[in-house]
Amino acid sequence: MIIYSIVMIQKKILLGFLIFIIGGSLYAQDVKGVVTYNRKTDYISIISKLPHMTKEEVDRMSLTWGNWASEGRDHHLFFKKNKSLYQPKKRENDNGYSWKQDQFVLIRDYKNKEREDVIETLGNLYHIKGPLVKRKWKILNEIREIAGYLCMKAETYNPIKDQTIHAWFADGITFSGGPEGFGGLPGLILEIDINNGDAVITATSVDLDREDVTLPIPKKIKGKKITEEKFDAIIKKYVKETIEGKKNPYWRVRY
Amino acid sequence: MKSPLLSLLLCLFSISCLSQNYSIKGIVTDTLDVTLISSTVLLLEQSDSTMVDFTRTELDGSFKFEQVTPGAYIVKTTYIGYIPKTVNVPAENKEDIDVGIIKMVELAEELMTVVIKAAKAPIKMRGDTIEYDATTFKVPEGSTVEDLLKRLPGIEVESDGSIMADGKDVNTVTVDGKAFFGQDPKAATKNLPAEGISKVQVFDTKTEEEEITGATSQSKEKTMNLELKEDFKNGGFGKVIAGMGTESTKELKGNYNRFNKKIQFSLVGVGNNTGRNGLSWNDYQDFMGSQSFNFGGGTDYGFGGGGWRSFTFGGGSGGLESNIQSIFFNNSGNGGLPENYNGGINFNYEHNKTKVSSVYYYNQSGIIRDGNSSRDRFFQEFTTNEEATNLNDNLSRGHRIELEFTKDIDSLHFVKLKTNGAFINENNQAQENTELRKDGVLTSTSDIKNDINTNGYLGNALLLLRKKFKKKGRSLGVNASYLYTELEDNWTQNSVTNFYNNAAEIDSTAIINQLNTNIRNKKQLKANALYVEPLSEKFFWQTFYNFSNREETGDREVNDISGSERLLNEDLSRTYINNIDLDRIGSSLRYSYEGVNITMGLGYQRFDLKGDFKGKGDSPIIGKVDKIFTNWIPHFSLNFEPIRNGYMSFGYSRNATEPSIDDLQPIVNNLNPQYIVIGNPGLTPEINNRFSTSFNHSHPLSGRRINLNASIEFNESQFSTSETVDSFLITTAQPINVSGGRSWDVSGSLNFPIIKNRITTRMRLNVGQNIRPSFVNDIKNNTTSLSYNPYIRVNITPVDAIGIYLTARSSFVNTTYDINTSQNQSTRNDTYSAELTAKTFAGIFLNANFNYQKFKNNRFNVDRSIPILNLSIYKQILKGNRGEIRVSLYDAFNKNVGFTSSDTYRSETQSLARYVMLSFTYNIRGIQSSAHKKSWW
Repeated sequence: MIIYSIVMIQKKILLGFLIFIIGGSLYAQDVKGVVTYNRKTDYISIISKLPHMTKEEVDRMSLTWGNWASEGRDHHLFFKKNKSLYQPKKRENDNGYSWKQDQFVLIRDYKNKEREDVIETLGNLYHIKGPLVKRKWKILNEIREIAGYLCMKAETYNPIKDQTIHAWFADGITFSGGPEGFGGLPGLILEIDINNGDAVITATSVDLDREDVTLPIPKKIKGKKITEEKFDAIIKKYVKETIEGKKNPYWRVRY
Repeated sequence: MKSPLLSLLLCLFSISCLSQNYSIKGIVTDTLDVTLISSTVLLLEQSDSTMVDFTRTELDGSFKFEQVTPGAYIVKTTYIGYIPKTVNVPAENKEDIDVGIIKMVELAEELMTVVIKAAKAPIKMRGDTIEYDATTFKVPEGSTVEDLLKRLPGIEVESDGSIMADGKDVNTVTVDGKAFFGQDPKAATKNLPAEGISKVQVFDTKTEEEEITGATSQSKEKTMNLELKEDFKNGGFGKVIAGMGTESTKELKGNYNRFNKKIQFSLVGVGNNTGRNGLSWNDYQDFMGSQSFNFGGGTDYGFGGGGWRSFTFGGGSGGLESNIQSIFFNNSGNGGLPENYNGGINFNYEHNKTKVSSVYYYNQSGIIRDGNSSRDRFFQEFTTNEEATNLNDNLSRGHRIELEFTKDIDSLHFVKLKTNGAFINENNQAQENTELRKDGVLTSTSDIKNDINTNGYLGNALLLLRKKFKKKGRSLGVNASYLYTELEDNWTQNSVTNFYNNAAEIDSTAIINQLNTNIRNKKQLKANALYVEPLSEKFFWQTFYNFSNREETGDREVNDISGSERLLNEDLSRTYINNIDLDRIGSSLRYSYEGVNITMGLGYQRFDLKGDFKGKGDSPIIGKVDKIFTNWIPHFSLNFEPIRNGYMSFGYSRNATEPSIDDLQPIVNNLNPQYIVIGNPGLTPEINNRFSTSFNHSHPLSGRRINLNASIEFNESQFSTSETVDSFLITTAQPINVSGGRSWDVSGSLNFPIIKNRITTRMRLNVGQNIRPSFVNDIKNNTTSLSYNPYIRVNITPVDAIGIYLTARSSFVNTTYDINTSQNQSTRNDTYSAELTAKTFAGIFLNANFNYQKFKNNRFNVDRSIPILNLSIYKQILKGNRGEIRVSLYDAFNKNVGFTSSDTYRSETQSLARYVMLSFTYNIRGIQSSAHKKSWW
């Protein structure tokens, strides 16, 4: 049955491809949709790796918080015509107390190779605009199913936060984007795994059948204009100094 | 129709690539030579699989990479439902390359449906090996690997235990790549527990020839490798610290933990006669494990977000039960010679949203206090001074047991049942000699001996239910609790008081020789409910209800002892029964959106106080209270984020506290003949209004933090006393309500680094004023105290091996009196401390801690300094730094004493002073000393 449904999906994609080809270009990726990702951060694992933590402190922390399960935070990726926007889902006011949410919007244009981010962090609002730098991906020999799609595994490295990043991408969805600003793979990234489980961003639903998708690009983008290099340098400096000060930088900085 | 278009495209592409770079092309088909259209083709670098380019196959299954720079590549093709395939493209080719037809093999249906779809397990391909994660296949606890294998797709286990994979015999089973107990594959699968396995790999068994040549053939046999799980969450740890020193000092502390994902078990024990190195917060956290921060749950609901802010009623902290609870949080406080023993056992179980935790704890503390004190009082016409020497020997023992069960029934329902019980015994023997003077002239001396033996117990049960609804934001919480407490005091009181005339001769003598038995009992039933209804995305309506009934009974029997006779003292013997009911209902409207929270609420409360008071035996009721007090209690709070990372709040609350029935009873309490208390039936609740505001801001990049707080409190009606002092200095006091009492408090703190991570500082200033009205000999007296408390701390950590921590704090208090301004005074207490930790040569650490306290009072000529210097030297020893040996010198100047000083009272208590201690620590997890202190945030 399941195999059958995959065959059905294949047929859909096939049909889609025929349309592309007739449309003129093999590389036209007019696939659009909205993906919901859940981001979970494993602070115990992150803190355990900090150099100042002793074995005793790590055990104490796992003992106290090890069974505490976070619900994670939902994010949306809107994509259409080689462009995508990724942002956290608005938090529902559930327990009757509202905290102001930090702004976090990542816009990617894979056709014009441009990025535009609005990130509120470390007490500032940054507006990062510039060319999209190509990431170096290694393709690994693993396959897995996520949200109904068969995915392949790829790996890259983030020197700013010293992270090994694994991406699971569905080559069945011909959009080169993904969550957390990652992209450039032959298909849509449905999961990002940072440092083997420290933070995992997994697609929980993939909606490709929408009539139309609009990217909720903010009308007015405020914030300090800054280049990617400068922004990375600020984060790198903060992470380094905070670790030197024997504290965890990732309470403040997104892991 | 399609192929001409394609050819055209291919032509266009070909034209554009006429450089040194070349192209790589091929065709992708399945095993039956059917072309696979739009399969993904990746071009990877051979060295590390870095992706260079990707494309998709055309309608004829063909693909082509243009403009490829020379190098060694891998062409990797993937297609849904097929096993990805790789083809090596060597580097030596300089011309366009055709890799030919790439035939892809379909993924076995079972692997696809069972492993990938059902178990959600990734499969990994390593050449001919397909590997999947065994942990995703659920088997019952205690299953063997064989049971696990029976569930895995493509694997069959015969009745004799032999294994087949993909229809081929498994002739070898390895564990972590190593042969397991020789050649019999069943030995491993039949004996190893399934829980210990993380991965199962199956691959073709290679002949020796194939191993060497790398050639592959259709093997007839398979090898299975079982990879073992790392012991992640299972473990045990423990620590013991033992020390012995001069002055017969001893310290011992130990803990032991065992835990896995479901169970946490721990033991802790502490014993010392130094009052130092007792149970620290870290020890407590090790002991309680996942329950360390499980405090709340039983409070009364109130206004505020999610019902968090709450009321406490009926002695949450000050009731009869606090006499029992305080035994377990015994702080030896200021001075004295302590001897403490405590320890306990904790067990937590957590599985599938169910938590069970149980604690037993025993606490024994003894303290001997030998000291003297001086108390001054000021009246309009005269002043009094009471000098006393005291010797106090206190020993308390307590057993406490707690059981808690919580369960998330589903995502909407939560239930908690908590019970606890405690049993205590306390013995206090006190001797006191006092001299009371009026304007410097001796008026009386007392010689008092008290021996109090207390036994008590309590039992408490709480049931709590929380329900969320499908509608977001709607929630309901209900809880009910029952408390039963009983306390029995047996008190022998002997005192001789001599009163002196003006000629300094004994005028009269009062002798008290009494045996006093006092049994008190409290039963309290509480029930609370809270309901939150979202009116819109931004508005919430919250309603709460608190109910409490408490019955308090007391039976005090006082017998005068003369010789061997005991005579009931009917004046002092009493029995009472009090019944206090509270109903409180409140409702609030809250706006919560984008970091702005505004709450406005109004509550109404009704106290119903009934009390009967009588003597022992058949004595008629001599006092009766039947009062109802009702009050409106408004509430307002606002908090928002005016600037980034800056939070501001404003609040107003009004509190009404009911008077105690003891104070309402219109009777005379002459238990203490020097201080007689008369009840006041006209007493009304204490009502105060409090306004507060706060602002805090942090700047993460610079590490600067600022905090500002201000509050002001007006007492509409405040409990106070009206005292009448006669010429023999016997005080008669009556509880009254006064108005005009008020206080304000402003504080600010600033943290910032002077040099990041090297020198950081924190400063704080607190200024406050408090005006307390009271009546003495019918004259209203306002005591006004104005205090300033500056504080500064500097942390200096220039290198990893050195940490220096400097602190200075002062407390200035100016006290002024309305009726006796000559007694106006100012006190100043300063504390300076400096701590240095250094890692020196050969892993030897040094720690020096100097603490200098200074007490000054201009009115009483107090000028007292207490310098305390503690030094220690320590080194880690044994393999893995599991041991530490430490020599400590405490109080090098031999100056330690317990000293307190306020505007009217000073006391001094002998304390353990200089001693040297040698201690040894053994920690299973190893010891990692640092010259720097850690702070979490």
